[in-house]
Amino acid sequence: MLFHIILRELRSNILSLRMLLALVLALTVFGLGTLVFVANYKIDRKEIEHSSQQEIERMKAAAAESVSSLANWGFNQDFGPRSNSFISNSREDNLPVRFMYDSFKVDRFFVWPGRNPLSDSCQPLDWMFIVSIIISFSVLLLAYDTVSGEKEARTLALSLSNPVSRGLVLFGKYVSVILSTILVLVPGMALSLLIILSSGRIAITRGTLAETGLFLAAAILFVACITAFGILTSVLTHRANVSLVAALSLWLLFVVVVPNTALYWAQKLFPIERMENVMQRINMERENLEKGMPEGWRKNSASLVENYAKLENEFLASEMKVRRDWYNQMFSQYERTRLITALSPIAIFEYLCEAAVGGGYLRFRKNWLDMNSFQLQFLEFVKAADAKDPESPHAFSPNSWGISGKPVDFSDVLIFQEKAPSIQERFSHAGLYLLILFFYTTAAFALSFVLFVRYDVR
Amino acid sequence: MILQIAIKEFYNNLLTARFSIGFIMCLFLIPFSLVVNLKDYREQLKGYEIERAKTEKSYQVRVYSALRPEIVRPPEPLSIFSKGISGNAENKFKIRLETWVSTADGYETGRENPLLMSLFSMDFCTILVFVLSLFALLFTYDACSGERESGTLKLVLSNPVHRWKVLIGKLIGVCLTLLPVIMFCYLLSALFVLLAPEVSFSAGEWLRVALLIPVSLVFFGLFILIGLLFSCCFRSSAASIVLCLFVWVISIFIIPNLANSLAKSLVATPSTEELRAGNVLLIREMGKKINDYSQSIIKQMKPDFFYWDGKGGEDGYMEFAGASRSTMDFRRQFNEFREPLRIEYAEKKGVGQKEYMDQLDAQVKLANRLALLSPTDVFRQVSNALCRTDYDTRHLLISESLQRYRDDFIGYLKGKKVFSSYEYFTRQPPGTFMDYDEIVRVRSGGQFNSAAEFIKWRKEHGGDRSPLNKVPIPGTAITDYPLLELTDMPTFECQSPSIPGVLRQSMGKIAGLIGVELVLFFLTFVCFVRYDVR
Repeated sequence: MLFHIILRELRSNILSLRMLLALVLALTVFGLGTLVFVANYKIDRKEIEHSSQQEIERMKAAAAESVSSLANWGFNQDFGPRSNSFISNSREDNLPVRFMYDSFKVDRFFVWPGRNPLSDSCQPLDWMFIVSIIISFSVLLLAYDTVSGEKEARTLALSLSNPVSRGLVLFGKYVSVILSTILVLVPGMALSLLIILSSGRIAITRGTLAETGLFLAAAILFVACITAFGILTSVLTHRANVSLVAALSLWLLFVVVVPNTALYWAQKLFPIERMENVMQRINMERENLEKGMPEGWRKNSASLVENYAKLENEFLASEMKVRRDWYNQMFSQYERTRLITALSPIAIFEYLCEAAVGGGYLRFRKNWLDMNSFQLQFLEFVKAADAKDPESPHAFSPNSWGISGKPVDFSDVLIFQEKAPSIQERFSHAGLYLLILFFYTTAAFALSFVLFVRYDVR
Repeated sequence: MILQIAIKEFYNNLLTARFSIGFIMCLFLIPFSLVVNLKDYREQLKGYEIERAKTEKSYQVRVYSALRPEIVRPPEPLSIFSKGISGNAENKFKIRLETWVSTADGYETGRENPLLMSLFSMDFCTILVFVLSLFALLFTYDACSGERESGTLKLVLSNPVHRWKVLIGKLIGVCLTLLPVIMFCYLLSALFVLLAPEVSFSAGEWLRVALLIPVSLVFFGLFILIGLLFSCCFRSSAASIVLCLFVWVISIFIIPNLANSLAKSLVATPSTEELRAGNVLLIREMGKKINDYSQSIIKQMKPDFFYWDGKGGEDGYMEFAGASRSTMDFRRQFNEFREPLRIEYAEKKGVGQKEYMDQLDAQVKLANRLALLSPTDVFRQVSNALCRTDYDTRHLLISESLQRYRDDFIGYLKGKKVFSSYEYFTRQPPGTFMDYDEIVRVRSGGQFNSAAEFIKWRKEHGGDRSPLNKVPIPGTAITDYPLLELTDMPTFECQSPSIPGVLRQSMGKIAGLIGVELVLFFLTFVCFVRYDVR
């Protein structure tokens, strides 16, 4: 019986104008978006390779100069565009993708400096964008009159006069909307993959295919959630045009209002310390440490190098403590704000996509942690190189002349390699959001079930 | 007759559920967007105050080489209405001899947490566009098809009234419904701005806000006509709403985003890294010239490089007191050569930077032109221009105001001939300069008679300079001298496009909107006259 209902609904959906329009629009945007992606990816890739190459050259120069230079020069580590960002760019255009480090610290991160500061911030037309805007919109358009529209057309009373439970009818409608959306989504994704394959610039590996699968799963969950909301608006009223207004208001709330107030919540609810304060604290600590040194140590040339190195190390430790604390404030401000935006299923879907492709904030956090552990290894490496030199004073500290002046063989120097987040990391990133999405879906569907059971079909 | 129809439509609209839902949305969203933006503005203002305090300190200098004006632009109060690009570009600039003005200076974004750059926020105009354009479509999509479905259209047209009168009556009815809502939104926002203590608009700024109203009326008129046209094209209102909404989504979400990414792939910006590499070559070349010159004058003048109190910093800053006469003379002559050379090389570096900026400009211009396909974006561009947050204002700031100020400032330095004066790096009067020998004799209280003796002693004692601390010489510390009086410094004046200028520029866009509206009206008229009411 369920099969019957689904088939009937599906047939009427497929033949409808909105389905046709949704399909045409989705295919067009999938196609155009991917074409633009392929062109832009090439440009961005070139830029990032250029800058990474220059950093390598600088590292070579530092290694050829001395251990001391290698230890003290600051290097940039850039995280270029992902080849799978046609699935979801995850706002990487606006997230920090350049870290600054030397052997003592990783202490800063920047948004990509090559961004055009004159242009408006725009969202790239990736799969995530298409699903969260076009598909979610089409879903609501398909779902808003499933019940109220049939009531107006008076076919609802006829369907329900058959020996079939109301729950089954509602579930049939629900499933059919999801299925028809998948019929729009999958050809679009296939078209997009086809364009990428034929461009020949981006290799589609097994990993990419797995990510595509994860994305599809996330998209289906998301569509299920939006459909539940759409059906809810439909059983809420007895007139299709009122359900439409309700559905559109809900959509505006999810797409425009909740995500766009994030900055406000961040500043209002989770303010962080101002940079000036942090700098002041760092400078105060510095002064205190300098006062704590034995009297006249700068004139005592016998232990000057050691004392100087000791002071510099203390400076470093105190500054890094303050800075780490401040960075943790930043991270927690951002994470908590994201949790607030999880009010909107569209924001949740964005975070799920982020987990699926291993990009965005997930990538940033992983790189930040990896970079910090890499820096420790790098420090060990430089220390080992210093230890090999018998002439070095072995007074290891930033800005010091207590480090070996001998060159290092560049082929031994450690270079950071970015690792994509593992499956476990992705799932643990997505876990909470998945749970919230499930909750929304079941809550909306349960509510519409209750309302539908009591729905007056006359 | 027209009036009667209009009033009937107006009442009909007013009583519908969509009107109340839409009105409640406005009532809820408009104040919210204002609160959000006022908060953001307040945060930016806080940052601005701190930066400005720092800037004022930067004028408290003793020597001209330390004088590098810093310019901090206050946040734009009109950004509460329309944000534009005011959020993503920095607003602090430093005038240096060595660099040409550009946006590539530092990362001052006004936000403490760089991660927050990835969060979006909306302004008043965005909310207005989203909600009211949807509103306009929802009121018109069934104006004709809906009445046909309910059978009332037949009744209306059976009266002795022309079809065009009915159409115009409907149009006026919808306009009558929307107009109060739009005015209400603007009045509410004005009220919020008036009540916010930290924002005060000047008369000119209020005028700009007031000018937003007619522009938004033209814009919403377009959506009303789109809805009406679809309503007269289709026999079922379900079909017309679906088309209306797809047009809406395309206009608001697809075209602007597509235009931006398309422009990026069509106009490639030269890479910043290449620019940097080019600059590195120029800097090397300049460094070589400076080095050669200093070697030659060191040979010629044989300075002894005795410094006493001193400080140095970026962009040629150096400040000395108590140095020996030959050192001071060397420094003066060196600066006389070096500073003009640095200015010359800044121009050379500027050529590449200008090209880079031109490419960025071209990219944005193309994106804006492509986005004109969407009426929403036309409105956005005009409202940004009115609110001084658009790309033209930014362009004027960078390539006109700041540049002119840099030229003025350099002209001021050159006019005072500071590069060839001692005042560029020391405030000690040239009459009180002493020779190395004399300094050593006086300072050591007669322990050494000449510099040579002291140097020899110092070598034996591991670089100890303490004998020179015995007898202090007055006027040899840099803090002994007062701050420079800079009353005749040129002041920075920021130009922004005037209201007539903005109007002239936006005229084409608005005229385009009106032209499209006329065409749409004509099409609607034709469709309605031929509409089958059965």
